[in-house]
Amino acid sequence: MLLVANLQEGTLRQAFESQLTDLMDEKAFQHRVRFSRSVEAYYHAVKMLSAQGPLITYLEERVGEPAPVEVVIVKGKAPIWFPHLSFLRSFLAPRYAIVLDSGRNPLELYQNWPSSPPSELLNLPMEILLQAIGQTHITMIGGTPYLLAAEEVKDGAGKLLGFLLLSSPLDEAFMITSNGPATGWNLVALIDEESKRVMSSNNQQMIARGLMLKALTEDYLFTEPEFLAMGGMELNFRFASLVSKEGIDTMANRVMKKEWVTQILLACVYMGPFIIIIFWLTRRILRLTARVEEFSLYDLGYEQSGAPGMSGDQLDVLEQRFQRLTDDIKKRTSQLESANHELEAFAYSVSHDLRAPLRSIDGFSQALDEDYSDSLDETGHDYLRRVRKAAQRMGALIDEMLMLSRVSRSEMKMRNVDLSSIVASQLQELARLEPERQIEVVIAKGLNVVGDEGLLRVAMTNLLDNAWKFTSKTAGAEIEFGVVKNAAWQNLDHPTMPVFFVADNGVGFDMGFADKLFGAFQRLHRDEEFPGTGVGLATVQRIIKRHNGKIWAESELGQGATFYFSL
Amino acid sequence: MTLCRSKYATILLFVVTLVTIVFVSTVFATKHSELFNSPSFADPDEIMVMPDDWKNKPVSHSSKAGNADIYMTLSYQIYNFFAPRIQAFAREKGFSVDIKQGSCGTSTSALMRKEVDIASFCCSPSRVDHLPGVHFHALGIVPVAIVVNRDNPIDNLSLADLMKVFRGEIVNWSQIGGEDLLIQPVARLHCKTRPGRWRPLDTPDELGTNVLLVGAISDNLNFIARTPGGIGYESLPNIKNKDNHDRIKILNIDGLDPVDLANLARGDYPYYRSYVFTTWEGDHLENPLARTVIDFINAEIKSRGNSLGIIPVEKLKLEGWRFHGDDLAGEPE
Repeated sequence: MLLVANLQEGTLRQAFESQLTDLMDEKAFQHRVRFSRSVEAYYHAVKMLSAQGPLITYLEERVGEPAPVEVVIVKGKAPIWFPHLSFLRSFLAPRYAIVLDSGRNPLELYQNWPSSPPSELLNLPMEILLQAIGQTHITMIGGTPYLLAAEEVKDGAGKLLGFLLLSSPLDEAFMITSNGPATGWNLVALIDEESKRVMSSNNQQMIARGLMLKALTEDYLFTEPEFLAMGGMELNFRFASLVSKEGIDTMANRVMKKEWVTQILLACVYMGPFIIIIFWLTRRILRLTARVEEFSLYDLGYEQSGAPGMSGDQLDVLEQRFQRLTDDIKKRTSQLESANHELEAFAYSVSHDLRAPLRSIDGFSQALDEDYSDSLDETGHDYLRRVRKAAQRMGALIDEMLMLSRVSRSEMKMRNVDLSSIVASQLQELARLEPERQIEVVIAKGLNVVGDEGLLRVAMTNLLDNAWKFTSKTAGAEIEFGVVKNAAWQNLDHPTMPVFFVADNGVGFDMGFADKLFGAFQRLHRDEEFPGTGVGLATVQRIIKRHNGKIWAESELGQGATFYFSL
Repeated sequence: MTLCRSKYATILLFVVTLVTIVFVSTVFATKHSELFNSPSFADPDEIMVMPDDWKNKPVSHSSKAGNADIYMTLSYQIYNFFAPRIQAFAREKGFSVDIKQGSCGTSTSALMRKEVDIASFCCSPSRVDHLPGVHFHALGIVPVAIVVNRDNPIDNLSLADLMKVFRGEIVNWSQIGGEDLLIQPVARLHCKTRPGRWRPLDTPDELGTNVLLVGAISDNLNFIARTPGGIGYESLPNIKNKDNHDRIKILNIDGLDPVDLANLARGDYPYYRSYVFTTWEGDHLENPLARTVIDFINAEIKSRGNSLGIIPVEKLKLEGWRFHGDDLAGEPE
């Protein structure tokens, strides 16, 4: 976040500085044009003022007079040969105006400024004066750059009467007049090309004369100073437009501050939903953690919260607790499976071992009944028949138990199984055993599933045996095998699995006992009515479950029953 | 037979007349002399009258020059290219040179003060520059191109129209076949008092009131680069050296392209600037090393002139430009 903010600030600052550079270039151009115009104005002013009648008259009256010993200095009110102040104020305000006779001797000086000019200005060498005629000329006088503009004054016949010279030092006052007062954004300076020092500026306090150009870079930004070539410039200087870095920083900070506020608001807008989602997720995680702890404590019997080695944030703790939980469950599952296998093996072993003594009981009971029939009265025979019947029933129970055990233990070989064919062959077998029964059978054709054929055959046999058995007392019995086509009947756990059914119109059962239907040795009818061991449906359920399916039933007493199963 | 001769004579006369008309019209059309009222050069024989004490004053280097064998000024327009080469040449020859960069005003002042051995001008010397003892060496000329904004559809202007533009007599590009757009002329009057064809008009006073005056080369070109209606002028090498030269366009004048130096060498292209150097002649004035430096600069221009966009003086002599001593005095007749 901090990195992004820094990058963003850097980019913003770059964009700001680029924009600033363009603005400064434009500003610098305006500054140079204004300065050039101010300088150029002296040329036009002197050209116009030198043709004034009062000046010509003034000089004509002095033709033939000896050169004055001392220059007359006029202050305040303008002399007769020069326009009055209101004119100068709105047009041009030269610091000094000097009238010279034709021999270049200064006659009068009008100073529009409290301080007098340097004596060199009043005694300009001819070569300097010559260069100031017809153009502005910038030269160094007394260590200060001076702007000079001169023109010959002639009478109507073209006779040279003298010269008019306008001059101003290119000092702070001139720079303010030409380029306006200094502000953080409006700073100009003349830089001497040779010494690389400030010659003049529009604020001597901020940019003092003599300051090194290099030193300026510490406090100011400026465009490359431009070399100005205007008319006759003896001096070699460049014109620089500067901007105070402090001003830029203030503005940049102001812009950045506004940008930051915007960024923070935007961040809030962007982050708000994330915070809500994180809060919601955290709550869920905490609840889940609590559930894990509860489960550990109440269902598994140990406390997680005090467990050693738990560290990190909520997710880490949750992960560690889950890991511990799954390890524990795996361990317990493994133990349970092992115990279950032992139990199954024990049950099988017991069942298997019980069969031999049962056969002996049955066999010897039969032998006793047949070989010693004369020695026994009818009661003895009856007892022996009961012994045999009980032994046979126990044998049937053991067979069923062995079947149930086999169903659970046998290895599954998955392949495509034609359920319709299995159903048809089983019903044919039942019909062969009881040919007197009149039952209407409906079998949907071509119903195939992938499963273990042996197990599925056992399951279907059990279901069909039940249907056959429970319709034995029903006139017009019907048995139907099919698949549910109505979507509402789909198995909710496995919606893509087909749901098959075996329906009959037999005696049915009370749905109040439906939960006992698939329990081992559970029977809803008396043995005298419908004989059975109560293991069949338990076997069916185990087979269906081994196929990851589900079985359930719907019925009504006297209205038949329908067993649904998904595969 | 007579009829036949008469027929050939008529055809010959027609052809000669046609060639003459084309030649005369071409000469008059390209020299453009009738459109300028003032001469391109100051009268070389008119020497400034200076007081005797000035005349007797020897050349004395400015204190800024130190103990250099040669102290000279060099126009800022060619300073960057020539200054290091002159310094290297002097070192090779075993003498020292101190070079002051500046404008023509800097050179005139230095001559007036008699503090340099060599002064450099970027245009023809004025009457004031013709000081006693000063010898002028014209070393080459460069075209001054008329430039407009790159997006301006105009590619060519007649000289007459161009002058009207800068006089403020034509103020909209649509008046000369362009778009309905105000013309915004810009001018850089660096050598106001000097003659020559380095500006579009004879004198600065002729410039229209709509002309924006600027003092720097970059301001001149930048203004045109960002002003759709802008038009100005600048020396060809100065344009090539600036970053924004791709945003401005050089115009042909009367079909003559200033980039083709042959147009100027023949004297057909009207605008150019001359590079003139001075040495001193006479006792207490002449520095023999000065002539060596001038010869070196001349040789440099001769060998590298084409790449610099400068036409060397030898080429000008071949094309018939007139000389007064070593200084240029007139265009080809």
